[in-house]
Amino acid sequence: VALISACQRGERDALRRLFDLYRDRMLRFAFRYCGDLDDAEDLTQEIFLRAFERIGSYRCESAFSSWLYRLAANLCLNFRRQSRRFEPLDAIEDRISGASDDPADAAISSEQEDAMMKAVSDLPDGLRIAFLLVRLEGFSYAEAAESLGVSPEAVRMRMMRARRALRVRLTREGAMR
Amino acid sequence: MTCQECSDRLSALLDDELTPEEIGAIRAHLLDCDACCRELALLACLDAEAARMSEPQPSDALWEKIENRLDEVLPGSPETNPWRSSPEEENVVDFFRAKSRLSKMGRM
Repeated sequence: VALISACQRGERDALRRLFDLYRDRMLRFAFRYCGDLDDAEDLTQEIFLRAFERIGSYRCESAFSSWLYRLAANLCLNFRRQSRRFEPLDAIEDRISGASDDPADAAISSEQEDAMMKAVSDLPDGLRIAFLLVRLEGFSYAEAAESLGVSPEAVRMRMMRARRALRVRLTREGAMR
Repeated sequence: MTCQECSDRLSALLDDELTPEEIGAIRAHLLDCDACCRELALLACLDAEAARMSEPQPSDALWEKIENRLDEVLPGSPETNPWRSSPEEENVVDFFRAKSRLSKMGRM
């Protein structure tokens, strides 16, 4: 609360600390949403700038992370609408970390990861953001619902449909073991 | 519980969003249904694959890019504060301050 208050007063040290606190989560969310690191960095930049601009309107009635993810989700959706240029995952191959020592294993792992990223990236927006929040950011349905401005039941349905869509696609492509 | 009812709940099961009663009903159904067991295994495998997606590494310059644009968004910055003077207005104010100081010095 003290950090948020300091940010609301426009204290730059506090803004930097808030950035450090949420940087990795926001970048990961943006990256998994759009599948390109350069676009994800641009999105992360916009997420923080919009958050700093609007932080005065945050009233501590909900968790700050929910407020921030809601803002991030809206920016991701706008980014998707505005940008026809991003071809998901073209640049990912160079950026996969933690490769196995065995080149053959690494190739298989990389292919599966690419297939998963592409499949997630091709989900309809509503399903994709629900899947990212719940499965990859660890949100409960209630928390995701708060961030998305929908009911927990809607999140449950989106998760079911997202999983089914991913399973059908990845099984068809032979990317699931 | 039918296969359809079970299938509709497997996703919530993996997300730990079911009541103990619902979990018990699914467990009972799975004991007798290979198809739903396979479905659950596939969805669990899907989650495991999703969790293996790589973590992006932020560039060192990310904060600098944000910091360079902070004045555009922070309250009180020239771009967002309508009451704040423009650089031209500041020059006029400085001129009259300097003139006032000079006239005071002249009276000394």
